[in-house]
Amino acid sequence: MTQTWKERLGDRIPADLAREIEIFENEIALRKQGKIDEKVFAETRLRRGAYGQRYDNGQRSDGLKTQALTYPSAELTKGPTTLWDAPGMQRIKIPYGGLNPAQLETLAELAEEYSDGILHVTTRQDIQLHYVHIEDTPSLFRRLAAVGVTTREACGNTVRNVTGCPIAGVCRTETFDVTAYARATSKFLLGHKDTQNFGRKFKIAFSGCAGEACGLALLHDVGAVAKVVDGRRGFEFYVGGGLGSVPSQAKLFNEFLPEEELLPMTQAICRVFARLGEKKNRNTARLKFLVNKLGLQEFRKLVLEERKLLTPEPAWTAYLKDLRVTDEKGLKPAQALNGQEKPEGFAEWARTNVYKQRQAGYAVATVSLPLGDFSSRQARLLADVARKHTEGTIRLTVEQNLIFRWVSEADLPALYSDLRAMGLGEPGAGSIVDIAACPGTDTCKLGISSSRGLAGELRTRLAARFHTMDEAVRGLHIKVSGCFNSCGQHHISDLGFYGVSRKKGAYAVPHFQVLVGGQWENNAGAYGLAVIAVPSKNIPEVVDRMTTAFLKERQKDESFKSWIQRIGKAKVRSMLEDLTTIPAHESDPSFYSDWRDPREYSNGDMGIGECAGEVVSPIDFGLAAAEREAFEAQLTLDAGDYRKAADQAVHSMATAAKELVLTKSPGTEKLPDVIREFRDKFVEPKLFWDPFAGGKFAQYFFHAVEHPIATPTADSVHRLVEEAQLFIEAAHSCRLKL
Amino acid sequence: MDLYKIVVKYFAAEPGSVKPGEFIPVFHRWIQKHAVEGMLIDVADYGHLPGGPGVVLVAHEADYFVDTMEGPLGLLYNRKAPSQGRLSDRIASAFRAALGACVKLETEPEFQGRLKFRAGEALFLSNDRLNAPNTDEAFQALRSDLAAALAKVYPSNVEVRRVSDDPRARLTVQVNSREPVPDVTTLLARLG
Repeated sequence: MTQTWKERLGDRIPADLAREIEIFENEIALRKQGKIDEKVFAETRLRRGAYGQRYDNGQRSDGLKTQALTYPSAELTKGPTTLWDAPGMQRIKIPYGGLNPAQLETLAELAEEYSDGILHVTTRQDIQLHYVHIEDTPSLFRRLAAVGVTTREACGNTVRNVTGCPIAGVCRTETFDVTAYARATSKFLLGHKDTQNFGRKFKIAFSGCAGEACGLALLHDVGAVAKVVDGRRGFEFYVGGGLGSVPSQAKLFNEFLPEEELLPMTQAICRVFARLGEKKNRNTARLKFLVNKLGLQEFRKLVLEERKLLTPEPAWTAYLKDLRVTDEKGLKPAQALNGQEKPEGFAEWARTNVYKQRQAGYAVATVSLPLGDFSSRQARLLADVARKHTEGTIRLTVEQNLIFRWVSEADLPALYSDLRAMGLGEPGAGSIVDIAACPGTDTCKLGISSSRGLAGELRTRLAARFHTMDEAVRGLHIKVSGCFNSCGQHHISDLGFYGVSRKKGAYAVPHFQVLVGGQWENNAGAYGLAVIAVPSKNIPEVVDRMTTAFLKERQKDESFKSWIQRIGKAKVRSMLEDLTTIPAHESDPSFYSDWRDPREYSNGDMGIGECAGEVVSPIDFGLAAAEREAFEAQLTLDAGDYRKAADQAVHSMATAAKELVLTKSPGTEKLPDVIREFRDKFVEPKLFWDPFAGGKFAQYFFHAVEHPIATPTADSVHRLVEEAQLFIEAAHSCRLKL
Repeated sequence: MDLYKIVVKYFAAEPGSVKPGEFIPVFHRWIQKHAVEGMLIDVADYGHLPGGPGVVLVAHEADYFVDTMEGPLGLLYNRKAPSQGRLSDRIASAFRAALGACVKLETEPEFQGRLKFRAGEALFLSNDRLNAPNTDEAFQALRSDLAAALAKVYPSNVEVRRVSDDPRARLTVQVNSREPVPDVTTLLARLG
C-alpha cells in the first residue's frame, strides 16, 4: 500500500506543527468543497507562506495576445482572482538565516519534487520555491517540519521571518552576539495570540552593531541594535521603519532596552499595533503609519502602558539562562592561512568573499549566489561543504548569499576549490557585481519590469571587468526592484532601480527609475530618491556613466553618496537625460522587450497597437511636466527649503491629476475642479487604481491637497516627494489604460 | 508502484554548440503556438547558474527543461501531474513527450541544424522520494515496468544502470541502447 509523507514521517514531526499542518490540509479539502470563503482561505494559506504568483488569474500576455490559461480546476480559486491550479510561490522562514545541512538537503529535495530545482534566497533570509501547486504544500510542510523548519507566518498579516546579522558571534565590531535573541524572539512570537490580529505584516531585525549594514535594523517595524550599558546587555530599540513604496526610517523608541525587556516590550508593541493599527486600508496599515499618526511620544506612552498590563510569561526570560545555545565553534583547529599552495583564482575570491573572524585563525566564507539562486544539486554539495569545513552551520544573508562561518583559515583554499567545482566560486561578494534583486516580472504578480533580467545583465557586464575595476567602484551597491514596493531594497543602495513603464506611441516600454543617495552602511542609514526614469535597455549605460563620472570627479576618499550630494541631483539628471530617448519601434524593437524576455512588453493585458504613430499626445507632455516638477521638489528639498519643496511636490501631483482629467473633461483647470473630476472619473470608477495598492496613490494626492503639511521637516517632505513620484508613476500606469 | 513524477532526459550531441539562452525565444514561441502538449504557462531562465536547470518551459502537467544539472546540456521532461495507465504506460508516455520536444527543437530555425540529440542514450529519473527513492530496492521494483516501456523505444536491446547510490539524490537510471539508433525522430515514431 502506498504510504504518505504523513505516515512516513510520523513522530518525527513535532506535535504542534503536525496539528497545524493537518488543520491546513483540512482547510484545503474544505476550500475544494466550497465550504471556506476564498478570502479566508487566501489569508490562511498566506499565513503558511503559500503565496500567489504571476499569471495566477488565468491570463498571460504571450507577446502577441493575451492567452487564457485554462487549468483543470477551472472555477476553483484559492483567493480572489487566484486560480487553484495556478502555480504559486512557497516562502520558507529561516530565522536569522540559520540552517543546518539536513535542512538544506530537505530544501533541495522539495525544490526538485515540488518546484523547478531552484532555491531562491530572499532579502530577508527566507528561502523561496516557485511554481508550487497548492495541493503539494501539506507534504512539503511535513518534510520541512521533520527537520525543524516551519513556513508558518512566512506571509500574511503576521510577524515575518525574524532576521539577524549573519556574522553575529564572529563579527569583529559587534557589541555582542544577537543570535540567541533573534531566535528567542522568533520562537516567542510564532503563533502568539497577540500577533494574530494585525492589519499588515510586521518585520523584526537584529544587528550586533550600529555601524555595519548586516542587520538592516533601521528599516524594520522593530529593529534591535546590541548595546551594553554599565555591563548590562540590552538594545538600542527602534520602531516604525520600513521600505515599501514610501520608505520610513525607524525611530528610536528606547536608547537602552535591557535584555529582559526585549520580549515583553515587543509583545506590548504587537498589542498596540493589533489594537490601533489600520485594518481596512492595507496601504496605511504598517506600523510606520501608526507611529507617524500618533507621534513617537504618544506611541511610546501607549506601549509602556500596555507593557504594564501584560501578564508575565516564563518565555520572556527563560532563554536568557542559556544564551550560548546558538554558539558555534570550529570543526577544525584554528590555523592561519600560511604558505600552502592556493588554487587559481583564490586570491581574488578571498579578497571579497572572506572575512576574518574576531576569533584568530577562523574566517567567514561567503558563497556569492547569482541573483540569490542555487540549484538543488548545489544545495546538496553545499551541505557537504558545511559538514566538511564547519560544525554543520550555514547562514543566509540579506544580500541573498550564503555563508560558512568558523572555517579554519587553512581550509579556505580547499573550500574555495569545492565551491569552484560546483560553479559557485565567483568573487565579488558585497561588491558592485553582487546585485540584489526581487523576483520582479519573472514570478511576482506586482512586477512591472524585469528586475532579475536587469540584475543578471548588469552582473554579467560588470563581472567581465571586475578584475580591472577601481576599488571605489567595486565597493558600490546596486539593488533592483521590479516595482515601487522595494522588495529588492532599491532605496538603500548607491544605485537603485525600480521598475516602471512608459508609453511610446502605441507601445508600452519597460523602464526603471534611477535612485541615488541611498546608503547601505550604518544599518541602511539613508534612503535614495528617484531622479529619472530610463528605458530598461539603457540602464547598463546609466551604470557605466555614473561609475565613470564618479571615478573622474570624486575627491580623495569621497563616497558615492557624498559625491552625489556635492554635484547635486540636477547634474545627475542632466548626465542621464539623453538616455530617456526611446527609438522608434521600427528602428530598434529591442527597447520594447524586457531583459531576458523576448515578448513584446506589455503592462497588464494591453495588446499591441495597430498604429505605431509617433505623435506625442498632450497628456504625455503633461505627465513629463509633472515629473519635472517632482524632481524640482527634490532639488529644493536637498537645498533645505522644505516649505517650497512641499509646495512643489503637491503641485506636481496636481499637474499629473489635471493632465488625466483633461482627457475626459476638457477645460478643467482649477484645482477644486480637478480634484472633483479626478475623484469622480478616475478614482471612483477605479481607473486610477493599482492592482496591489488599490487607491493608495490617489489618497496621497487627496491628503496632500486637503491636509497641507503645517511644519515641513526633512522627513515629512522627503516622504511627500516620494509620494508625488509614486502618484505620477500611477498616473503613467493609468494613462496606459486610457 | 504509484509513480507518476517521471523525468526523462536526452542529451545534446554537441552540448557546446548551443547556449541555454537561445532556447528562451523558442519556448516563448511554443507558448504562443501551443506547440507541445499540455497547458503551457511561462518560461523561467536560470541560465545564470552554471550546472543548473537552465531554461524551463513551465506547464501545468509537466515542465520542459534545457537542463545542465543532470549531466551535459539536454532536454529534460519532468512530469508533475498524475497520469493514467500502468506504470509502464506512464513511463512510455514520458519518453514520448521528451522525444517529441527533442524532435521539435531540432527543427527550430534558431538552431539551423546545430542541435541534435543523442538518441542512443537517455536518463530516467524518479522525482518522488516517497514512492521510488534512490535505493536498489526501488530500482528493482520498477525495473520491469521500465523495461516494458523501453522495449517500445529500444526494441532490440538496451542497458540500464543505476547512476548513483547517494540516498539524497533522485533515483536515476542511465539508459543506453546496445545498437546504434539513427535519431530521436526514429525513436518517436516507434512510440507512435
